[in-house]
Amino acid sequence: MDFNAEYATGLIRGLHAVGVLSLFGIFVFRVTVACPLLPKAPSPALDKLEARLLLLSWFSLVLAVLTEFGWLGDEAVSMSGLPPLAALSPKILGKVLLQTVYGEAWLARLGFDVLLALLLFARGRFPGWQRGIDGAGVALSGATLVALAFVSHAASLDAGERVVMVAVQAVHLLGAGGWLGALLPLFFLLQAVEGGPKYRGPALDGMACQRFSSLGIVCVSAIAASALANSILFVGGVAGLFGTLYGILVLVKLTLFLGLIGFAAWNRFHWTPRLFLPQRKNRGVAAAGLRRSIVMETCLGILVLLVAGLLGSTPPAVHSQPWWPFSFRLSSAALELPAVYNEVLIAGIGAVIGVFVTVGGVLSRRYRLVLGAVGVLVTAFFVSTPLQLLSVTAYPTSFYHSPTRFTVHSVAEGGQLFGENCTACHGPDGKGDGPRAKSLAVPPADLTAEHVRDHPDGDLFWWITAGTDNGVMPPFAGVIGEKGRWELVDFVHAWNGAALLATPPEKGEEEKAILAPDFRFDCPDGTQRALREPAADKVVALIFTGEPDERLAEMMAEVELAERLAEVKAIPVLGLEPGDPQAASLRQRYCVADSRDLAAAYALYTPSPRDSSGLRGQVFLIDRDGWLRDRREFKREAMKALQTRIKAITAKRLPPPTGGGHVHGH
Amino acid sequence: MMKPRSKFLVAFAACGLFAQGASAHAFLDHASPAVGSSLPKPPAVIRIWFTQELEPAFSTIEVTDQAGKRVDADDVKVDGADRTQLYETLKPLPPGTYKVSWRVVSVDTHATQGTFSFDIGP
Repeated sequence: MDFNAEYATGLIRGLHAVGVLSLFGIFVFRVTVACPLLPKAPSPALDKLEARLLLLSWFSLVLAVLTEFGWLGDEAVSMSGLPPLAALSPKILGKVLLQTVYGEAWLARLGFDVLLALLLFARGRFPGWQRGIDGAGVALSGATLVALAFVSHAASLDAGERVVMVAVQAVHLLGAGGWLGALLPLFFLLQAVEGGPKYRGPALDGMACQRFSSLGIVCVSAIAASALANSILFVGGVAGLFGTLYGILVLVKLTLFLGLIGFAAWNRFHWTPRLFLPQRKNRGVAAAGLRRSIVMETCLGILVLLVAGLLGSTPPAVHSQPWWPFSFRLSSAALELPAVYNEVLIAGIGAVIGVFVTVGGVLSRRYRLVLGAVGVLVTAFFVSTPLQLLSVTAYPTSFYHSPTRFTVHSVAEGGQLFGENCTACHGPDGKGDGPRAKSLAVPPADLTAEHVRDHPDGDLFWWITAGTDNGVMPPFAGVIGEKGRWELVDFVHAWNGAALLATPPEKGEEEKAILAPDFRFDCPDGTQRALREPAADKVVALIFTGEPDERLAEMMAEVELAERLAEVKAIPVLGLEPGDPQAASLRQRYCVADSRDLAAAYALYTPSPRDSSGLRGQVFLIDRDGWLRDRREFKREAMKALQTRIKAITAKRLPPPTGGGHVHGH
Repeated sequence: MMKPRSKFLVAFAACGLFAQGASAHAFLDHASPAVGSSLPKPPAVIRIWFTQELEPAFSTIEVTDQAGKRVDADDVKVDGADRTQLYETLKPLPPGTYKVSWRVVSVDTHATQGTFSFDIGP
């Protein structure tokens, strides 16, 4: 769907929200504010209020129903992918209505709307039943809001999360309706009681506003809490907030929401107390000011709902690639250096002291200005230090998630592309010593250096896409497709990991976490699994063997025997090269992984990285977290040592690398 | 040296390239036969797993041979137990390259589509 269509969908959703929230707000207002306050006896002023509320209710209901039909048509077009005239056929509309979750929620809402219309019809005709009708109105219009929650982004979550988030969404909508929807009714009430001398007595308008404030506080708390839960789940983080359309819309909505809170506070603390002033003239000024303010608050509220509608039809930030707008980002990698750690710690203590001084200044009357200013300066100074120390250069794609997921396929494809495009400068071994390296102003990067793994995928992707800042490395965006560039990133990480695996940690040094390229394997019981999905509860021993059948059977028996003794937890997986004549018989007995990509990717971790025959007789040990922990020869004499190593790997898990670099492949 | 202006253009072009991927909702998670794989024997069924639950009424898979002829049985279904999984039976396939085109609607109503291929070799 193109952007304009999304935009139209968003507006329809927003207008629909205006209608249903308004209807709910009117009923809530009747039950919580109007009904307890207003005398039951008829009077011209109250008749006027009643007439206006009823008109507003009808208007809201008609808006809700019209936009509901518009939205249905829009969904029929987008779901079917057909041109509008074909999509609006009875067959497609029937499919949408009867066979989709959206359709079920739509029919439920239409049913509620019909009942609401009956209620509104009855309300004007049976004055004695009004309380019951208003209660039913709150329940029914509330139910339409809950049904609306079922077609929000929350509907797309996994079953467990979905229940919680649909409820959160419903709370959000009910809060918004109870507050924003009740604004215009409050306006009408103020207008109605104004000139009516009979009801001016005990500052009826002031009491209405106080009741409304209590309602507002409950609603705003519900809105804020549910919005926070929504943001955590759908925005995800800073990158999503600043780097995606969804995030920007959230920021806009938040700003408008703060504006609404500002109006609400002004109405509550400035105007409302003035409605109780003794002089009639002053009360009049306050009432007029309050009404103006409520109208502006309502307009702002409608704007918020339109933005909310756009959010509903925009992919959540967590599903989008965030285009990072700043030239730096914060990284905790530098904290590994003791000097930086200490400095940040000291700055943190300094900042806390600064905050205390500021608070002290605010509380003290005498030294407020001096202490306040000193406190703010001290805080700013100490906050800026860690910001500088921990900020690193960032690029627009720094926070992109790799779509290729570091599989044997992406690594093998990336290796191919590397050979074709990169070796001239980076060299066949990626050490930065290619034939053209000498002629360059700045030597090409040594891709086997350990610091490479500290860079996020998105940084490497940017350099390949747009070239390096110094202009030495050219952009490859026009040469290699997007997927290919991600595969190159995966290959560079694999190549870098292979260099790291080949240099065992020195004494006292921690073992490094190296991500193993993901692959799928089939087991004799018919199950198919991937290395990282679902996460294994045992070490995976990936064995490439060139042994003849019988000897292999003996060795595998030893591996399995050890496993059955429950001392060594490992899943033996036979890695086979394609076309292995034994493949069919082996598949019946062992878990097997075989593909050209598997051989090409895992050969990188052997002394002969470009020759997959070097895999023969090798075993790779991959732990429960997907880290490649060991490669060694798979030979009969060394079975004990292999078992000991598997045991050690099971016993000690590794922490992920801290650089925000190559942490996970999905 | 790359001029700032051309760098901006690259960035802009890149932005356009990614915008399409970013508007998707239900992504292909994995497939059997796998994306880009080579199989020794023809599969009887094609299965695709997505990142979100699907609407069966509007989710389709079309498998075509090199001549563009459909080779699936047009009986696509969403798995009853796992609503993220779509499957379809295939006719007996001779060796060759096959193109898989899918179009799905996720339960939050967003439509996405894509293609991939697999080989069957002797």
